[in-house]
Amino acid sequence: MKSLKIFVLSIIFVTSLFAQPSIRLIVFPELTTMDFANFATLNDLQGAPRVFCAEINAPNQTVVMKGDVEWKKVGASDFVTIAWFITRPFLSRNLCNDDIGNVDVRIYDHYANTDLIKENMRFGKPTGEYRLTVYLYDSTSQNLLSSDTRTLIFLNPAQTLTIINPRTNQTYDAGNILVEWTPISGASDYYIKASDRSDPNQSLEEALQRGIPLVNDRNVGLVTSINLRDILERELRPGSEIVLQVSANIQGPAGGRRIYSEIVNFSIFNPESQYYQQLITRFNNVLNRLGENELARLFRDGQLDPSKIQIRKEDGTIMTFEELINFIEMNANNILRIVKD
Amino acid sequence: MKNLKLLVTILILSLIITAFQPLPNNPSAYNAAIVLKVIQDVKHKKPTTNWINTKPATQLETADQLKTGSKSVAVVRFVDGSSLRVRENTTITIFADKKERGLLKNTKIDVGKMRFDVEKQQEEDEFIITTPTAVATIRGTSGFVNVDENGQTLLVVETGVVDVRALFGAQQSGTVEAGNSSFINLEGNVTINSSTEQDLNEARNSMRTNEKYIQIQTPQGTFRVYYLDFE
Repeated sequence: MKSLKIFVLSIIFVTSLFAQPSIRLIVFPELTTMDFANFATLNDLQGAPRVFCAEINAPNQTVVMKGDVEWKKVGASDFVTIAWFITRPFLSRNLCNDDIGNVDVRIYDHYANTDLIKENMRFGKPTGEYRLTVYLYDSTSQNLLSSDTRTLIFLNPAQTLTIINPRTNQTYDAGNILVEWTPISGASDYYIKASDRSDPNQSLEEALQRGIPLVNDRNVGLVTSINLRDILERELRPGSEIVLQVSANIQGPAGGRRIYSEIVNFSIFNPESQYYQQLITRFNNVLNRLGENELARLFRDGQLDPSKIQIRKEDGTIMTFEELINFIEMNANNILRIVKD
Repeated sequence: MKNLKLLVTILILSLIITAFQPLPNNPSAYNAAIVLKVIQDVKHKKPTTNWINTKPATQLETADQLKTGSKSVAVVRFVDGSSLRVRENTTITIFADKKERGLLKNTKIDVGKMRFDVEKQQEEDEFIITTPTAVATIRGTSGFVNVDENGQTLLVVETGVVDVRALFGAQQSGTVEAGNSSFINLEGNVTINSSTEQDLNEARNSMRTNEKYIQIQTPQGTFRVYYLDFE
Protein backbone atom coordinates (compact mmCIF):
# COMPACT_ATOMS: atom_id res chain seq x y z
CA MET A 1 0.00 0.00 0.00
CA LYS A 2 2.82 2.35 0.92
CA SER A 3 4.63 1.62 -2.33
CA LEU A 4 1.43 2.40 -4.31
CA LYS A 5 1.18 5.83 -2.63
CA ILE A 6 4.80 6.58 -3.47
CA PHE A 7 4.18 5.51 -7.05
CA VAL A 8 1.14 7.80 -7.42
CA LEU A 9 2.94 10.76 -5.87
CA SER A 10 5.90 10.17 -8.18
CA ILE A 11 3.63 10.19 -11.21
CA ILE A 12 2.03 13.50 -10.09
CA PHE A 13 5.46 15.04 -9.44
CA VAL A 14 6.88 13.97 -12.81
CA THR A 15 3.74 15.10 -14.63
CA SER A 16 3.94 18.52 -13.02
CA LEU A 17 7.59 18.82 -13.95
CA PHE A 18 6.86 18.23 -17.63
CA ALA A 19 3.50 20.07 -17.77
CA GLN A 20 3.48 22.71 -20.54
CA PRO A 21 2.91 26.20 -19.07
CA SER A 22 -0.36 27.58 -20.34
CA ILE A 23 -2.46 30.70 -20.22
CA ARG A 24 -6.21 30.74 -20.60
CA LEU A 25 -8.15 33.92 -21.16
CA ILE A 26 -11.48 34.30 -19.45
CA VAL A 27 -13.70 37.13 -20.63
CA PHE A 28 -16.68 37.60 -18.41
CA PRO A 29 -19.74 36.42 -20.27
CA GLU A 30 -22.01 38.87 -18.51
CA LEU A 31 -19.77 41.72 -19.53
CA THR A 32 -21.84 44.80 -20.19
CA THR A 33 -21.17 46.98 -23.15
CA MET A 34 -20.64 49.86 -20.79
CA ASP A 35 -17.96 48.00 -18.82
CA PHE A 36 -16.23 47.06 -22.02
CA ALA A 37 -16.44 50.63 -23.29
CA ASN A 38 -14.74 51.76 -20.10
CA PHE A 39 -12.06 49.16 -20.56
CA ALA A 40 -11.44 49.69 -24.25
CA THR A 41 -11.14 53.44 -23.97
CA LEU A 42 -9.14 53.66 -20.77
CA ASN A 43 -5.40 53.89 -20.73
CA ASP A 44 -5.29 52.49 -17.23
CA LEU A 45 -5.87 48.79 -16.78
CA GLN A 46 -6.06 49.03 -13.02
CA GLY A 47 -8.77 51.65 -13.15
CA ALA A 48 -10.85 49.78 -15.69
CA PRO A 49 -13.67 47.50 -14.68
CA ARG A 50 -12.85 43.80 -14.49
CA VAL A 51 -13.21 42.63 -18.05
CA PHE A 52 -10.89 39.65 -18.34
CA CYS A 53 -8.83 37.27 -16.22
CA ALA A 54 -5.91 35.12 -17.26
CA GLU A 55 -5.61 31.67 -15.80
CA ILE A 56 -1.88 31.00 -15.79
CA ASN A 57 -0.72 27.49 -15.24
CA ALA A 58 3.07 27.57 -14.77
CA PRO A 59 3.68 26.53 -11.19
CA ASN A 60 6.58 28.24 -9.49
CA GLN A 61 7.79 29.80 -12.69
CA THR A 62 8.58 33.46 -13.22
CA VAL A 63 6.72 34.63 -16.29
CA VAL A 64 5.94 37.71 -18.32
CA MET A 65 2.50 38.43 -19.70
CA LYS A 66 1.71 40.53 -22.75
CA GLY A 67 -1.80 41.62 -23.69
CA ASP A 68 -3.20 43.05 -26.92
CA VAL A 69 -6.52 44.80 -27.46
CA GLU A 70 -7.44 45.09 -31.13
CA TRP A 71 -10.48 46.57 -32.81
CA LYS A 72 -12.17 45.95 -36.13
CA LYS A 73 -14.60 48.69 -37.05
CA VAL A 74 -17.96 47.69 -38.55
CA GLY A 75 -17.33 47.22 -42.26
CA ALA A 76 -13.52 47.10 -41.91
CA SER A 77 -11.57 44.02 -42.97
CA ASP A 78 -8.65 44.10 -40.53
CA PHE A 79 -8.07 44.48 -36.84
CA VAL A 80 -5.99 47.42 -35.63
CA THR A 81 -4.30 47.62 -32.25
CA ILE A 82 -5.96 49.91 -29.76
CA ALA A 83 -3.59 49.15 -26.91
CA TRP A 84 -1.06 46.67 -25.63
CA PHE A 85 0.89 46.16 -22.43
CA ILE A 86 3.71 43.94 -21.22
CA THR A 87 4.44 43.16 -17.58
CA ARG A 88 7.66 42.84 -15.71
CA PRO A 89 8.52 39.25 -14.69
CA PHE A 90 6.31 37.94 -11.89
CA LEU A 91 5.79 34.65 -10.14
CA SER A 92 3.01 33.00 -12.09
CA ARG A 93 -0.47 33.29 -10.70
CA ASN A 94 -3.96 33.82 -11.98
CA LEU A 95 -4.68 37.49 -12.49
CA CYS A 96 -7.25 39.87 -13.86
CA ASN A 97 -6.82 43.11 -15.76
CA ASP A 98 -7.41 45.19 -12.66
CA ASP A 99 -4.55 43.34 -10.88
CA ILE A 100 -2.06 44.51 -13.46
CA GLY A 101 0.04 47.32 -12.06
CA ASN A 102 -0.31 45.96 -8.53
CA VAL A 103 2.62 45.21 -6.26
CA ASP A 104 3.69 41.90 -7.75
CA VAL A 105 2.58 42.43 -11.36
CA ARG A 106 4.15 45.62 -12.64
CA ILE A 107 3.75 47.04 -16.13
CA TYR A 108 7.05 47.21 -18.01
CA ASP A 109 5.75 48.97 -21.10
CA HIS A 110 2.44 49.87 -22.67
CA TYR A 111 0.96 51.58 -25.70
CA ALA A 112 -2.39 53.15 -26.47
CA ASN A 113 -3.56 54.52 -29.79
CA THR A 114 -5.25 57.68 -28.59
CA ASP A 115 -6.85 58.42 -31.97
CA LEU A 116 -8.58 55.05 -32.01
CA ILE A 117 -9.60 55.40 -28.38
CA LYS A 118 -11.15 58.79 -29.16
CA GLU A 119 -12.93 57.26 -32.15
CA ASN A 120 -14.32 54.54 -29.90
CA MET A 121 -15.45 57.11 -27.39
CA ARG A 122 -17.27 59.02 -30.10
CA PHE A 123 -19.34 55.92 -30.83
CA GLY A 124 -20.43 56.01 -27.22
CA LYS A 125 -20.46 52.26 -26.82
CA PRO A 126 -18.51 49.31 -28.20
CA THR A 127 -19.06 48.93 -31.90
CA GLY A 128 -17.64 46.25 -34.16
CA GLU A 129 -15.28 43.45 -33.10
CA TYR A 130 -12.75 43.56 -30.30
CA ARG A 131 -10.02 40.93 -29.98
CA LEU A 132 -8.25 40.35 -26.71
CA THR A 133 -5.07 38.27 -26.83
CA VAL A 134 -2.79 37.34 -23.94
CA TYR A 135 0.67 35.88 -24.37
CA LEU A 136 2.67 34.06 -21.71
CA TYR A 137 6.46 34.35 -21.98
CA ASP A 138 9.26 33.04 -19.84
CA SER A 139 11.06 35.46 -17.53
CA THR A 140 13.32 36.70 -20.35
CA SER A 141 10.18 37.61 -22.36
CA GLN A 142 11.91 36.03 -25.35
CA ASN A 143 10.29 32.60 -25.39
CA LEU A 144 6.56 32.36 -25.93
CA LEU A 145 5.11 29.66 -23.69
CA SER A 146 1.43 29.96 -24.50
CA SER A 147 -1.24 32.33 -25.76
CA ASP A 148 -4.99 32.62 -25.87
CA THR A 149 -7.43 34.92 -27.62
CA ARG A 150 -11.08 35.87 -27.45
CA THR A 151 -13.15 37.97 -29.83
CA LEU A 152 -16.07 40.06 -28.65
CA ILE A 153 -18.57 41.19 -31.23
CA PHE A 154 -20.77 44.22 -30.70
CA LEU A 155 -22.84 44.43 -33.82
CA ASN A 156 -25.32 47.00 -32.68
CA PRO A 157 -23.80 50.37 -33.45
CA ALA A 158 -26.57 52.27 -31.68
CA GLN A 159 -25.51 55.14 -29.49
CA THR A 160 -25.62 54.81 -25.77
CA LEU A 161 -25.83 58.54 -25.31
CA THR A 162 -28.28 59.77 -27.91
CA ILE A 163 -29.59 63.27 -28.38
CA ILE A 164 -33.37 63.09 -28.66
CA ASN A 165 -33.79 66.78 -29.33
CA PRO A 166 -32.84 68.96 -31.20
CA ARG A 167 -32.95 66.77 -34.29
CA THR A 168 -30.52 66.92 -37.13
CA ASN A 169 -31.44 69.31 -39.96
CA GLN A 170 -34.53 70.68 -38.20
CA THR A 171 -35.16 74.39 -37.73
CA TYR A 172 -36.05 75.74 -34.30
CA ASP A 173 -37.16 78.97 -32.77
CA ALA A 174 -34.31 80.62 -30.90
CA GLY A 175 -36.23 80.70 -27.65
CA ASN A 176 -37.57 77.20 -27.78
CA ILE A 177 -34.76 74.70 -28.08
CA LEU A 178 -35.05 71.96 -25.53
CA VAL A 179 -31.97 69.76 -25.48
CA GLU A 180 -32.95 66.22 -24.48
CA TRP A 181 -30.85 63.07 -24.40
CA THR A 182 -31.04 59.47 -23.27
CA PRO A 183 -29.60 58.70 -19.85
CA ILE A 184 -26.69 56.32 -19.57
CA SER A 185 -25.89 54.22 -16.58
CA GLY A 186 -22.94 55.27 -14.48
CA ALA A 187 -23.12 58.93 -15.51
CA SER A 188 -22.32 61.44 -12.75
CA ASP A 189 -22.74 64.62 -14.82
CA TYR A 190 -23.70 65.62 -18.31
CA TYR A 191 -21.99 68.32 -20.35
CA ILE A 192 -23.23 70.36 -23.29
CA LYS A 193 -21.08 71.85 -25.98
CA ALA A 194 -22.54 73.93 -28.82
CA SER A 195 -21.07 76.17 -31.50
CA ASP A 196 -22.02 78.02 -34.65
CA ARG A 197 -21.24 76.30 -37.91
CA SER A 198 -20.42 79.26 -40.08
CA ASP A 199 -18.98 77.30 -42.99
CA PRO A 200 -21.15 74.49 -44.40
CA ASN A 201 -17.98 72.81 -45.68
CA GLN A 202 -16.74 72.40 -42.13
CA SER A 203 -17.26 68.97 -40.66
CA LEU A 204 -19.52 68.87 -37.62
CA GLU A 205 -16.52 67.98 -35.44
CA GLU A 206 -14.50 70.90 -36.76
CA ALA A 207 -17.39 73.28 -36.23
CA LEU A 208 -17.81 72.06 -32.68
CA GLN A 209 -14.14 72.25 -31.80
CA ARG A 210 -13.12 75.38 -33.69
CA GLY A 211 -16.22 77.54 -33.76
CA ILE A 212 -16.80 80.22 -31.15
CA PRO A 213 -18.65 78.28 -28.47
CA LEU A 214 -22.25 79.10 -27.68
CA VAL A 215 -22.03 76.69 -24.79
CA ASN A 216 -18.55 75.72 -23.76
CA ASP A 217 -18.70 72.24 -22.31
CA ARG A 218 -21.11 73.35 -19.62
CA ASN A 219 -21.73 70.94 -16.75
CA VAL A 220 -25.51 70.70 -16.45
CA GLY A 221 -25.55 68.12 -13.68
CA LEU A 222 -27.42 64.86 -13.67
CA VAL A 223 -30.39 65.89 -15.81
CA THR A 224 -31.43 64.62 -19.21
CA SER A 225 -32.98 67.80 -20.61
CA ILE A 226 -32.30 71.49 -20.49
CA ASN A 227 -33.46 74.57 -22.33
CA LEU A 228 -30.56 75.72 -24.49
CA ARG A 229 -31.43 79.34 -23.75
CA ASP A 230 -30.68 78.81 -20.06
CA ILE A 231 -27.05 77.88 -20.69
CA LEU A 232 -26.16 80.05 -23.67
CA GLU A 233 -22.97 82.07 -23.31
CA ARG A 234 -23.87 84.29 -26.25
CA GLU A 235 -27.00 84.96 -28.25
CA LEU A 236 -28.12 82.69 -31.08
CA ARG A 237 -28.05 84.35 -34.46
CA PRO A 238 -31.31 84.04 -36.44
CA GLY A 239 -30.76 81.89 -39.51
CA SER A 240 -27.53 80.37 -38.17
CA GLU A 241 -26.63 76.68 -38.08
CA ILE A 242 -25.69 75.20 -34.74
CA VAL A 243 -23.74 72.04 -33.86
CA LEU A 244 -24.29 70.46 -30.47
CA GLN A 245 -22.93 67.51 -28.54
CA VAL A 246 -23.77 66.05 -25.15
CA SER A 247 -21.26 64.09 -23.14
CA ALA A 248 -21.53 62.11 -19.94
CA ASN A 249 -18.92 61.82 -17.28
CA ILE A 250 -18.64 58.24 -16.07
CA GLN A 251 -17.41 58.02 -12.54
CA GLY A 252 -14.12 56.26 -12.03
CA PRO A 253 -10.54 56.70 -10.88
CA ALA A 254 -8.78 59.93 -11.83
CA GLY A 255 -12.05 61.82 -12.26
CA GLY A 256 -13.78 59.39 -14.57
CA ARG A 257 -14.14 59.50 -18.32
CA ARG A 258 -16.41 60.95 -20.94
CA ILE A 259 -18.84 59.18 -23.22
CA TYR A 260 -19.88 61.40 -26.12
CA SER A 261 -23.10 61.56 -28.10
CA GLU A 262 -23.15 62.04 -31.83
CA ILE A 263 -23.03 65.67 -32.95
CA VAL A 264 -26.32 67.10 -34.18
CA ASN A 265 -26.67 70.12 -36.42
CA PHE A 266 -29.80 72.24 -36.63
CA SER A 267 -30.80 75.74 -37.65
CA ILE A 268 -32.35 78.77 -36.01
CA PHE A 269 -35.39 80.39 -37.57
CA ASN A 270 -34.93 83.85 -38.95
CA PRO A 271 -38.21 85.69 -38.30
CA GLU A 272 -37.28 88.17 -41.02
CA SER A 273 -36.94 85.46 -43.64
CA GLN A 274 -39.54 84.86 -46.30
CA TYR A 275 -39.61 81.19 -45.34
CA TYR A 276 -40.59 82.00 -41.76
CA GLN A 277 -43.28 84.38 -42.92
CA GLN A 278 -44.64 81.64 -45.16
CA LEU A 279 -44.77 79.30 -42.15
CA ILE A 280 -46.80 81.86 -40.21
CA THR A 281 -49.23 82.18 -43.11
CA ARG A 282 -49.52 78.40 -43.46
CA PHE A 283 -50.21 78.01 -39.74
CA ASN A 284 -52.90 80.67 -39.86
CA ASN A 285 -54.52 79.03 -42.87
CA VAL A 286 -54.49 75.54 -41.44
CA LEU A 287 -55.90 76.69 -38.09
CA ASN A 288 -58.70 78.53 -39.86
CA ARG A 289 -59.54 75.38 -41.82
CA LEU A 290 -60.17 73.63 -38.51
CA GLY A 291 -62.92 76.04 -37.55
CA GLU A 292 -63.09 78.65 -34.84
CA ASN A 293 -60.96 77.86 -31.80
CA GLU A 294 -59.05 79.86 -29.21
CA LEU A 295 -55.65 78.84 -30.51
CA ALA A 296 -56.51 80.15 -33.97
CA ARG A 297 -57.86 83.37 -32.50
CA LEU A 298 -54.75 84.02 -30.39
CA PHE A 299 -52.52 83.40 -33.36
CA ARG A 300 -54.62 85.47 -35.73
CA ASP A 301 -54.61 88.39 -33.28
CA GLY A 302 -50.82 88.25 -33.01
CA GLN A 303 -50.98 87.30 -29.34
CA LEU A 304 -49.12 84.05 -29.83
CA ASP A 305 -45.40 84.14 -30.53
CA PRO A 306 -44.24 80.86 -32.15
CA SER A 307 -40.85 81.26 -30.46
CA LYS A 308 -42.58 80.91 -27.12
CA ILE A 309 -44.53 77.75 -27.73
CA GLN A 310 -43.42 74.22 -27.02
CA ILE A 311 -44.98 71.36 -28.95
CA ARG A 312 -45.00 67.72 -27.90
CA LYS A 313 -46.67 64.60 -29.14
CA GLU A 314 -48.59 62.40 -26.72
CA ASP A 315 -45.51 60.20 -26.23
CA GLY A 316 -43.46 63.23 -25.19
CA THR A 317 -41.57 63.62 -28.45
CA ILE A 318 -40.88 67.22 -29.29
CA MET A 319 -42.16 68.64 -32.56
CA THR A 320 -40.86 71.77 -34.22
CA PHE A 321 -43.23 74.51 -35.29
CA GLU A 322 -42.68 73.48 -38.89
CA GLU A 323 -43.40 69.81 -38.11
CA LEU A 324 -46.65 70.81 -36.41
CA ILE A 325 -47.75 72.77 -39.48
CA ASN A 326 -46.83 69.88 -41.80
CA PHE A 327 -48.70 67.43 -39.58
CA ILE A 328 -51.89 69.47 -39.40
CA GLU A 329 -51.83 70.16 -43.14
CA MET A 330 -51.41 66.45 -43.88
CA ASN A 331 -54.04 65.36 -41.35
CA ALA A 332 -56.57 68.17 -41.44
CA ASN A 333 -59.39 65.70 -42.06
CA ASN A 334 -58.36 63.64 -39.06
CA ILE A 335 -58.20 66.53 -36.59
CA LEU A 336 -61.05 66.10 -34.14
CA ARG A 337 -60.88 69.22 -32.01
CA ILE A 338 -58.58 71.77 -30.38
CA VAL A 339 -59.20 72.37 -26.70
CA LYS A 340 -57.53 74.40 -23.99
CA ASP A 341 -56.61 72.46 -20.86
CA MET B 1 -77.59 22.83 8.83
CA LYS B 2 -80.31 20.92 6.98
CA ASN B 3 -81.91 24.23 5.98
CA LEU B 4 -78.62 25.50 4.69
CA LYS B 5 -78.16 22.41 2.49
CA LEU B 6 -81.65 22.90 1.08
CA LEU B 7 -80.94 26.55 0.37
CA VAL B 8 -77.70 25.73 -1.48
CA THR B 9 -79.45 23.02 -3.54
CA ILE B 10 -82.22 25.43 -4.56
CA LEU B 11 -79.66 28.07 -5.45
CA ILE B 12 -77.66 25.66 -7.65
CA LEU B 13 -80.81 24.37 -9.34
CA SER B 14 -82.02 27.86 -10.11
CA LEU B 15 -78.59 28.76 -11.55
CA ILE B 16 -78.66 25.68 -13.81
CA ILE B 17 -82.18 26.46 -15.00
CA THR B 18 -81.19 30.06 -15.79
CA ALA B 19 -78.07 28.95 -17.68
CA PHE B 20 -80.02 26.65 -19.98
CA GLN B 21 -82.74 29.15 -20.82
CA PRO B 22 -83.22 29.33 -24.62
CA LEU B 23 -82.64 32.63 -26.45
CA PRO B 24 -85.62 34.91 -26.03
CA ASN B 25 -88.32 34.41 -28.61
CA ASN B 26 -88.63 38.14 -29.03
CA PRO B 27 -85.88 38.99 -31.52
CA SER B 28 -85.75 42.57 -30.37
CA ALA B 29 -84.18 41.40 -27.12
CA TYR B 30 -81.31 39.64 -28.89
CA ASN B 31 -77.93 41.26 -28.26
CA ALA B 32 -76.45 41.63 -31.71
CA ALA B 33 -73.36 43.71 -31.16
CA ILE B 34 -71.42 45.80 -28.71
CA VAL B 35 -70.04 49.31 -29.11
CA LEU B 36 -66.33 49.03 -28.43
CA LYS B 37 -65.22 52.57 -28.96
CA VAL B 38 -66.87 55.97 -29.00
CA ILE B 39 -65.11 59.09 -30.23
CA GLN B 40 -66.91 62.39 -29.78
CA ASP B 41 -70.61 62.48 -30.72
CA VAL B 42 -72.20 59.03 -31.00
CA LYS B 43 -75.84 58.26 -30.22
CA HIS B 44 -78.07 55.21 -30.38
CA LYS B 45 -81.74 54.41 -30.03
CA LYS B 46 -84.25 51.60 -29.99
CA PRO B 47 -87.19 51.68 -32.43
CA THR B 48 -89.42 53.06 -29.71
CA THR B 49 -87.07 55.40 -27.84
CA ASN B 50 -85.28 58.70 -28.41
CA TRP B 51 -81.59 59.08 -29.23
CA ILE B 52 -79.30 58.75 -26.25
CA ASN B 53 -75.56 59.26 -25.94
CA THR B 54 -73.63 56.06 -26.51
CA LYS B 55 -70.94 54.93 -24.14
CA PRO B 56 -68.33 52.26 -24.75
CA ALA B 57 -69.62 48.75 -23.98
CA THR B 58 -73.18 49.65 -24.94
CA GLN B 59 -75.02 46.54 -26.13
CA LEU B 60 -76.91 46.91 -29.38
CA GLU B 61 -79.95 44.76 -29.88
CA THR B 62 -81.52 43.93 -33.19
CA ALA B 63 -83.27 46.92 -34.81
CA ASP B 64 -81.22 49.40 -32.76
CA GLN B 65 -79.93 52.43 -34.60
CA LEU B 66 -76.61 54.19 -34.11
CA LYS B 67 -75.50 57.52 -35.54
CA THR B 68 -72.30 59.51 -35.47
CA GLY B 69 -71.94 63.27 -35.58
CA SER B 70 -69.31 65.42 -37.20
CA LYS B 71 -65.70 64.28 -36.57
CA SER B 72 -67.04 61.30 -34.66
CA VAL B 73 -66.39 57.57 -34.85
CA ALA B 74 -67.87 54.42 -33.35
CA VAL B 75 -66.46 50.92 -33.44
CA VAL B 76 -69.07 48.16 -33.26
CA ARG B 77 -68.29 44.48 -32.84
CA PHE B 78 -70.61 41.60 -33.57
CA VAL B 79 -70.78 38.38 -31.60
CA ASP B 80 -68.75 36.54 -34.27
CA GLY B 81 -65.88 39.06 -33.97
CA SER B 82 -66.72 41.00 -37.14
CA SER B 83 -66.42 44.74 -36.70
CA LEU B 84 -67.70 47.95 -38.19
CA ARG B 85 -65.91 51.28 -37.94
CA VAL B 86 -68.65 53.80 -38.36
CA ARG B 87 -67.25 57.11 -39.60
CA GLU B 88 -68.60 60.63 -39.12
CA ASN B 89 -72.15 61.68 -40.06
CA THR B 90 -73.32 58.12 -40.56
CA THR B 91 -76.47 56.34 -39.49
CA ILE B 92 -76.78 52.57 -39.32
CA THR B 93 -79.35 50.07 -38.12
CA ILE B 94 -78.25 46.72 -36.76
CA PHE B 95 -80.30 43.60 -37.38
CA ALA B 96 -79.37 40.17 -36.11
CA ASP B 97 -81.56 37.14 -36.35
CA LYS B 98 -80.70 33.76 -34.87
CA LYS B 99 -82.10 31.39 -37.45
CA GLU B 100 -82.52 27.70 -36.91
CA ARG B 101 -79.16 27.06 -38.52
CA GLY B 102 -76.91 30.04 -38.24
CA LEU B 103 -76.89 33.73 -37.49
CA LEU B 104 -77.98 36.44 -39.92
CA LYS B 105 -76.38 39.84 -39.42
CA ASN B 106 -77.65 42.70 -41.49
CA THR B 107 -76.39 46.25 -41.12
CA LYS B 108 -78.41 48.89 -42.87
CA ILE B 109 -76.52 52.07 -43.63
CA ASP B 110 -78.75 54.99 -44.61
CA VAL B 111 -76.04 57.54 -45.21
CA GLY B 112 -72.35 57.95 -44.43
CA LYS B 113 -69.21 55.87 -44.42
CA MET B 114 -68.33 52.66 -42.72
CA ARG B 115 -65.45 50.22 -42.74
CA PHE B 116 -66.20 46.51 -42.36
CA ASP B 117 -63.87 43.77 -41.22
CA VAL B 118 -65.93 40.62 -41.39
CA GLU B 119 -64.74 37.35 -39.93
CA LYS B 120 -65.01 34.30 -42.15
CA GLN B 121 -68.65 33.27 -41.91
CA GLN B 122 -69.82 29.75 -41.12
CA GLU B 123 -71.78 28.14 -43.93
CA GLU B 124 -75.11 28.83 -42.25
CA ASP B 125 -74.20 32.39 -41.19
CA GLU B 126 -74.62 35.51 -43.26
CA PHE B 127 -73.23 39.03 -43.01
CA ILE B 128 -75.10 41.53 -45.11
CA ILE B 129 -74.77 45.26 -45.59
CA THR B 130 -77.82 46.98 -46.98
CA THR B 131 -77.81 50.51 -48.40
CA PRO B 132 -80.74 52.44 -49.89
CA THR B 133 -79.73 51.17 -53.34
CA ALA B 134 -77.92 47.86 -52.82
CA VAL B 135 -77.41 44.79 -50.77
CA ALA B 136 -73.94 43.29 -50.29
CA THR B 137 -73.28 39.78 -48.99
CA ILE B 138 -69.93 39.47 -47.30
CA ARG B 139 -67.89 36.44 -46.29
CA GLY B 140 -64.53 37.00 -44.59
CA THR B 141 -63.89 40.34 -46.20
CA SER B 142 -62.60 43.79 -45.36
CA GLY B 143 -63.50 46.96 -47.11
CA PHE B 144 -65.31 50.22 -47.02
CA VAL B 145 -68.76 51.45 -47.97
CA ASN B 146 -69.78 55.03 -48.70
CA VAL B 147 -73.43 55.97 -49.15
CA ASP B 148 -74.04 59.50 -50.41
CA GLU B 149 -77.05 61.63 -49.56
CA ASN B 150 -78.93 60.31 -52.62
CA GLY B 151 -78.39 56.74 -51.50
CA GLN B 152 -75.85 55.86 -54.21
CA THR B 153 -73.32 53.36 -52.96
CA LEU B 154 -69.58 53.02 -53.37
CA LEU B 155 -68.19 49.71 -52.18
CA VAL B 156 -64.39 49.28 -51.89
CA VAL B 157 -63.16 45.71 -51.33
CA GLU B 158 -59.68 45.39 -49.77
CA THR B 159 -59.62 41.65 -49.10
CA GLY B 160 -61.96 38.78 -49.92
CA VAL B 161 -65.03 38.89 -52.15
CA VAL B 162 -68.40 40.65 -51.92
CA ASP B 163 -71.52 39.80 -53.89
CA VAL B 164 -73.48 42.95 -54.61
CA ARG B 165 -76.98 43.45 -56.00
CA ALA B 166 -78.89 46.62 -56.81
CA LEU B 167 -82.28 46.83 -55.14
CA PHE B 168 -84.15 48.96 -57.69
CA GLY B 169 -84.25 49.81 -61.39
CA ALA B 170 -82.06 47.53 -63.51
CA GLN B 171 -81.29 45.46 -60.41
CA GLN B 172 -77.89 44.52 -61.75
CA SER B 173 -75.60 42.35 -59.67
CA GLY B 174 -71.92 41.45 -59.60
CA THR B 175 -69.03 40.05 -57.63
CA VAL B 176 -66.44 42.50 -56.36
CA GLU B 177 -63.00 41.07 -55.69
CA ALA B 178 -60.14 42.45 -53.61
CA GLY B 179 -58.62 45.58 -55.13
CA ASN B 180 -61.84 46.50 -56.91
CA SER B 181 -64.61 48.96 -56.18
CA SER B 182 -68.24 48.91 -57.18
CA PHE B 183 -70.58 51.84 -57.69
CA ILE B 184 -74.33 51.26 -57.53
CA ASN B 185 -76.40 54.17 -58.82
CA LEU B 186 -80.04 55.09 -58.44
CA GLU B 187 -80.92 53.37 -61.72
CA GLY B 188 -79.81 50.04 -60.35
CA ASN B 189 -76.63 49.80 -62.43
CA VAL B 190 -73.65 48.07 -60.86
CA THR B 191 -70.22 49.06 -62.22
CA ILE B 192 -67.08 47.33 -61.04
CA ASN B 193 -63.59 48.80 -61.61
CA SER B 194 -60.15 48.67 -60.08
CA SER B 195 -60.10 50.77 -56.94
CA THR B 196 -58.69 54.24 -57.47
CA GLU B 197 -55.95 55.62 -55.24
CA GLN B 198 -58.59 57.84 -53.64
CA ASP B 199 -60.82 54.82 -52.88
CA LEU B 200 -57.93 52.93 -51.33
CA ASN B 201 -56.81 55.94 -49.30
CA GLU B 202 -60.29 56.41 -47.96
CA ALA B 203 -60.53 52.73 -47.06
CA ARG B 204 -57.15 52.88 -45.31
CA ASN B 205 -58.06 56.08 -43.48
CA SER B 206 -61.24 54.47 -42.24
CA MET B 207 -59.03 52.37 -39.97
CA ARG B 208 -58.15 55.45 -37.93
CA THR B 209 -60.01 54.94 -34.69
CA ASN B 210 -57.31 55.80 -32.19
CA GLU B 211 -57.65 59.21 -30.58
CA LYS B 212 -54.33 60.93 -29.91
CA TYR B 213 -53.24 64.47 -29.22
CA ILE B 214 -50.47 66.98 -29.69
CA GLN B 215 -49.83 69.33 -26.81
CA ILE B 216 -49.00 72.96 -27.48
CA GLN B 217 -47.72 74.87 -24.47
CA THR B 218 -48.05 78.61 -24.81
CA PRO B 219 -47.75 81.52 -22.38
CA GLN B 220 -51.56 81.77 -22.67
CA GLY B 221 -52.12 78.17 -21.59
CA THR B 222 -51.84 74.62 -22.87
CA PHE B 223 -53.80 73.52 -25.92
CA ARG B 224 -54.40 70.00 -27.16
CA VAL B 225 -54.97 69.15 -30.80
CA TYR B 226 -56.84 65.85 -30.83
CA TYR B 227 -56.62 63.74 -33.97
CA LEU B 228 -57.47 60.29 -35.26
CA ASP B 229 -54.61 57.89 -35.74
CA PHE B 230 -54.32 54.27 -36.79
CA GLU B 231 -54.76 51.65 -34.09
